[in-house]
Amino acid sequence: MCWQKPASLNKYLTLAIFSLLILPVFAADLQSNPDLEGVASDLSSAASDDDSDWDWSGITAEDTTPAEVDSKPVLPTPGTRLRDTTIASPDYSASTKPAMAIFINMPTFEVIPSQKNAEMHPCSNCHQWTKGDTSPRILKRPHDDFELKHGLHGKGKFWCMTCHHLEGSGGLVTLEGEKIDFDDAYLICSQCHVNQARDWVYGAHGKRIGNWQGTRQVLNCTACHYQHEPAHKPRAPMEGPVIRMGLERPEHWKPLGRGAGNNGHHHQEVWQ
Amino acid sequence: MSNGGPAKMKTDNAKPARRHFLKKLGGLAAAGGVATATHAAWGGHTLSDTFADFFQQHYREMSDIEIRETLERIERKAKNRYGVDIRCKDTAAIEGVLFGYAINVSKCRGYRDCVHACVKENNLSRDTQYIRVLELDRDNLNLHEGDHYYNSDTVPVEGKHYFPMQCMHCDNPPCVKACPVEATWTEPDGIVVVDYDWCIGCRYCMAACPYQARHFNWGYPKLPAEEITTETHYLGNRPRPRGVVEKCHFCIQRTREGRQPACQEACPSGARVFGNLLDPNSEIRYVLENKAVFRLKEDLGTEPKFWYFRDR
Repeated sequence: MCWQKPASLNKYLTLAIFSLLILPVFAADLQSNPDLEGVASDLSSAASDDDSDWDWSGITAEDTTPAEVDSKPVLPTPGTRLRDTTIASPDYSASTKPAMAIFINMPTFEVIPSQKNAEMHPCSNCHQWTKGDTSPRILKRPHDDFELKHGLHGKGKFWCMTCHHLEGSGGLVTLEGEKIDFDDAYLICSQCHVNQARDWVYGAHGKRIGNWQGTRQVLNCTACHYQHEPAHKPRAPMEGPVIRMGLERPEHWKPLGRGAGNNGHHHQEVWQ
Repeated sequence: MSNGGPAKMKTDNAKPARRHFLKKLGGLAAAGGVATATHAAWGGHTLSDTFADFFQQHYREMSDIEIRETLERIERKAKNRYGVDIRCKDTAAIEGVLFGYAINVSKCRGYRDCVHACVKENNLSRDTQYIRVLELDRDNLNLHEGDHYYNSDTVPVEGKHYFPMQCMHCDNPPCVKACPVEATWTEPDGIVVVDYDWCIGCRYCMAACPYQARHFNWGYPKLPAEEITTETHYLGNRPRPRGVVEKCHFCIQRTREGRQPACQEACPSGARVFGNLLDPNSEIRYVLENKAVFRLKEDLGTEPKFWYFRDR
């Protein structure tokens, strides 16, 4: 009996020594293998916020410093992952609309013009006669028919004049003071909702209409989100499916909460 | 099982005639029996059409002339049965296209607009729906706990999320393997289709499908004549015969002509993304490459071309 002990001990010892020898080799392999590293970083970036690694800092006023303009990042080639590349710094001088800057190097798309409020559009219908009062106050007619429920903005952070201006025929204005038509409302939204704007351009957000191929025709942000209260309100669903024969619910059927079957059957515990 | 609405009057007294015919199938002697059965027995078409139907080949084995004659026959039958002029096509797959679908689960709000757009577009019997929308508790993805029949006054209900399911168009489809007569197969653009005229109604495919995507026509489709979609496809939304299996076909009659599927067009929240998987600039590819996507029952190895993703 007593001679067995050293034998098994030997086995474990050998294993331990072997693993001690072999582990650093693996570790070194992992460090040196760029493929594995890429996977690891991919995983970590996917685990964190999907949009966090997308660098919007490129749109800051890089063009003011000529040294940085020279070191423009490589443009994303079609088919490459966006997170693998960085967006090229915008050329403000080339774009007529500075607010357009974040859409540079993105795929082309066509925006369906927003539906305009026939009575209120354009602002100059009334405001060529009456001077607009731009001071923050409690709104009176005819502007009292809505309440600004735009996220945090309604709570005294933003005021009408943050997005609207009254010069000329009136319209929208960016935070930087650039005047924008109502049809380009997405430029206003994308100032803050940059991740949504990117998804919208690439197709993961928003409503494309017409074809599945060719130029992407998308609805403007304001077609689906009422700009002063962007959260969607609940709506009645359309009719459900016909209940299959034999699976009709009792009159006072109530779901049993988590674990309730979809058909009134009570599954036995063993099957779950 | 009851027959469909419009067809019921015509078929009730004609059922025995078909059985009669099938019993005497031994030879052409049966032709006499069919002739007396009048056109009502076969959904209102003529003796020559009846014979042509009976000897109709598998879709993939028909010559161009045979396909053209078949399409004309389908149009005649629909005219006789529903009094509607339909146009039946057999548009081929677009070269270099492999269809894929993705649904943003956090955008779906359970309106069921897609369901009814699908029913209308695909001439479904009004008791069948290709798309099933499940209502689940938040953070619960056990699909067997989902509720198909939710009927709240408004959706979305607080604390619930909604999960639409339809045919996944698997790359390795178990339904296709189960079919004993090869009446269902994968088209070059990845759409799993059914030849309704070749299907024998054994429903093996329904048993094989892990997603409950296939549906059986117990009777003639309950199809209001005034709501028939007249642009149809042989493998798609043409009015179906009785006793065959059908399923979502990515609106083959629309998508092969560049149009969006009806469900995507109807979705008011833009949760549905459809496109060409082989096009690196397509929206579906952007979703697959930049979002955390998942598929249902991946462990079965069916390789669905149908993904789900969330915003966050």
